[in-house]
Amino acid sequence: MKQEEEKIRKLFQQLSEEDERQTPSFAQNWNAALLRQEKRKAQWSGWRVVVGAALLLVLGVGGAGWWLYVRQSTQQSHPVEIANSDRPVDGFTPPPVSLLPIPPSRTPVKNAHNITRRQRRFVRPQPTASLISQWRSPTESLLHIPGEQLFKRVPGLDESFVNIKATSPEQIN
Amino acid sequence: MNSHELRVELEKHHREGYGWALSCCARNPAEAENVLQAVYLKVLQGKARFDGRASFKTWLFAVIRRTAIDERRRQWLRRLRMDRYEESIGNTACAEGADAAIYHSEIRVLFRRALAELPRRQREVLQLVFYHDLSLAEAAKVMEVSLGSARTHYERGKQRLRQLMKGVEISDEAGRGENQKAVPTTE
Repeated sequence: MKQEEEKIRKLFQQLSEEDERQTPSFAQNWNAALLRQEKRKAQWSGWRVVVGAALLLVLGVGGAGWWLYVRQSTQQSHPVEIANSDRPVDGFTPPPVSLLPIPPSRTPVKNAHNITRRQRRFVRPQPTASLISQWRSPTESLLHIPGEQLFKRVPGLDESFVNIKATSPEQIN
Repeated sequence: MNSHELRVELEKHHREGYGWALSCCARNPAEAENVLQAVYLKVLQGKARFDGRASFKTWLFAVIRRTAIDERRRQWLRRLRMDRYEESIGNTACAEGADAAIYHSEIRVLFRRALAELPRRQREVLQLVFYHDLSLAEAAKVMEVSLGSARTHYERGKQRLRQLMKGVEISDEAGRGENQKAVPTTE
């Protein structure tokens, strides 16, 4: 066993002697390491500038976006009309314009933003509000036929059929 | 330990460090030198700090081993990206040249080949014990394995090396070292 170990040791020693001959000087390696360190420092400072600039850009864009968002939301936080009739009907007076009631809150500044958002959500579709009395069915014309009044009233003795001009529901009205 | 003391210690262990780096880099001198420079850089930058828990030599060898593994991984990734043809030409030319220049003796070449054929752990433990005169416990620390595991690798490595070097006679010209340990100690 010892003999075998001695044999291995000798082989390794031969290897060690060969390695010793080709070992580079310490100063050479140390200086190379120092040079690498300088190089990395320069690289790192370059990277730092790039990263810093990118960070500033992101912050700037983000800040501008935020400012625009806040500005928009404050502009829209005014009271909003809920109902508004485009076509006033004869003999019908539309109700007075009502305002959306803003509930009182403990933190007005914080809740103002929420209210604005709620209002925006409510107003966004903005359907043209029309009165129910004005509504007409789109198939209403189907209920009428030409010369309908002939069936509804009997013409007078001195009245000829030709004198009855209105034959369509629109003409009757 | 201040930077000057550190430098003195590193200089003292430079030759052995290079030998160990060679072993960790599949006996490629250029790679070994590169690893050694990377280790010195780590020391300079304070990424590798000697805290006195082990001997300086053990600590340095552990740093070299870890750096060599990192470098190997990085090179593997680089090789994946690079043209394979170019890479193979460069490597073979370098290896052949090194062989011819350094290892004249047939036994040395055989021994080198046998070492290359050993599994990494077995090669490492044999190198640390027989080349760098470390005890098995120190070798285990450098390899970051348990003592039992290091012993197993050591025994298996010896056995495998015996098989690979069967019938090879070794001359006494190299056995000049007087202060060598016959059997590696565990302490």
